[in-house]
Amino acid sequence: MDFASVSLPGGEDSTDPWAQWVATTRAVPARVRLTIAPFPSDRAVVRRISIPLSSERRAKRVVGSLLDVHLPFRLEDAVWRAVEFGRTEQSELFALCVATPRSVVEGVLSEWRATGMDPVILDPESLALWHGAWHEVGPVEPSTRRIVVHATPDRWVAAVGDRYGLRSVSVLREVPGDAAAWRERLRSWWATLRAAGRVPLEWVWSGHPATQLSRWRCELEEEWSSIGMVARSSEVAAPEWFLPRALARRALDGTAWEANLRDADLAQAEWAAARRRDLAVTSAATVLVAAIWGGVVGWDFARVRALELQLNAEIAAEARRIGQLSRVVPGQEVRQAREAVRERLARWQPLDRLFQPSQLANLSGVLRQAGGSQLTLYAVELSDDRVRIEGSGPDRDGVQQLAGLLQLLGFRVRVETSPPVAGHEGVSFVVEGARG
Amino acid sequence: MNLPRGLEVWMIGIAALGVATAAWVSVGWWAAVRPTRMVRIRDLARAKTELAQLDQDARRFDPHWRAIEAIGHGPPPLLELFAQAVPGVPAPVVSGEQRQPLDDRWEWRRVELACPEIPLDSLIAFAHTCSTLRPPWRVSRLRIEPLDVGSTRARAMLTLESVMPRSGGAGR
Repeated sequence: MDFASVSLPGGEDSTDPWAQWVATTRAVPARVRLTIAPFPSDRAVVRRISIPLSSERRAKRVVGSLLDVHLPFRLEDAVWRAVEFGRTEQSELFALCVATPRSVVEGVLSEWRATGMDPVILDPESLALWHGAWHEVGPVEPSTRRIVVHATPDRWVAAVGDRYGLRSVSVLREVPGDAAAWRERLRSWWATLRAAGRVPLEWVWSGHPATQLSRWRCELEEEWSSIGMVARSSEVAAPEWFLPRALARRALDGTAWEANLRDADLAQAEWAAARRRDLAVTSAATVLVAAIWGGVVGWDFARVRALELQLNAEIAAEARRIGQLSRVVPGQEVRQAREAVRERLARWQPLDRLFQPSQLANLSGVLRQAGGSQLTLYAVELSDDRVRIEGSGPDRDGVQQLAGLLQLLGFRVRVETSPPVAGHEGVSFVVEGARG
Repeated sequence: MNLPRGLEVWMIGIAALGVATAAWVSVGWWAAVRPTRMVRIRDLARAKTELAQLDQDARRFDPHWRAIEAIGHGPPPLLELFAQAVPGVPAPVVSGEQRQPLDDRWEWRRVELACPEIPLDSLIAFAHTCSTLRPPWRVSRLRIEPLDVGSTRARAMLTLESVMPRSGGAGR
């Protein structure tokens, strides 16, 4: 946004900018209205204070004490602002301060309220003029001094400064109707302004046409150009709107807030209430969002926790039932149940054999095979997992046939035969087998 | 909406900030903790599945128990059975009896039967009788030694097993 293009209702034809200003502000709903008004320069003290410190951070802490000695009133009873900090070419730190008694601020507020406007920001008029000139005319040339004159029918204000910023402000009040007398006062005033420094002056003119600004400007230029004291002289566009324009610009770019002489207990009640309302709404929204989030998190937590508890309970109950246990240790349910089942199944293992056919059923077959092979058996031992047959026979073939039968019955068989003994026919044998 | 004068604006703001902070902290905490909780729940679900599988395994002997419970009693005493099955054969010697409780009501019993002289066909007949009982006396081990070469009589040693009700048992 280009703040230099700020426009106000009424335009150049308006004869009373402040009436338009008030009317405009009142037309905007208070809820969204940001009103700014100039604080009269003749009711505030503007000082540029040198600070014998190198740190701006530390300077901000002591600037109040340094300002105190420059004030004709007690600092405790005043509203003051250190609006700008800067350094000279010699790196000397300085602060531009504005101060005024609190009672004066209250008086100015009362005057504004009487017009129907309760401004949120009271911006020092001299600061607005100075910054307005900086925006519309440009920076101050080195080695010159700028004087921004703003004329109204009842007073003339001059903001004086240099390349480092505003230095001081001077006000000429009680403008007389007599032109000659007024000329004398203006000459005296200008002389005072000129005496502020023997450097070329750069004049910036603004104000109401009713003040015959152009006429007085020409007189001054004629008189001072001859002595080389006018480096530049210019009149701003739409000069009667110069101050409102500058104020609007400062309000929009935020610089006016730093210089606002109205704050804390002087804050506009409506504005403060709106801020409280905003904070309350924001707080309520924050709490609502937090509550929703908390609710979602709480619901999810409760759901997960309930599921966890349910699973824990089910697992404990199942483990007790399956393991036939009276109690289980949380976290050890499956292990305990598995061990109990393993122990129980091992104990019941004989039941598995009970209904299985025994090896006795094979006895008849073994005996028939032995008889058929003409084997003589000395001992037969059969169990579920082992077999051992001792005997003798006419040859090894019969033994091998017996061993073959046992292999068919599922035994891994080992055959031992003794060599024939002289004088005896046949062989002795031992057939052993095991399940596997 | 005008707020009460006593209610300081900053207190409302700080309270809201506190609530919001608490909510965000709880959200952050839960965001950090939730994955761990979900892993725990997955572990629990896995444990539940394992228990279901274990339950299937634990029911492996249910058919056996149903059969035993349906019968409701144990097999007759061995000597009595022997006398009935193979009358005229000298009574065997019963030894090495072992008992192993299966539950409150039933026990596993193992008995060794020594027959100093028994015809082979009688032995087979006795063993057949034992195996056809319900519940059976199951021959788990058998050793036969013929008394003479070519003899049909032998010395036999049998190990028999069966289930028996325990006295005063209340059930499995």
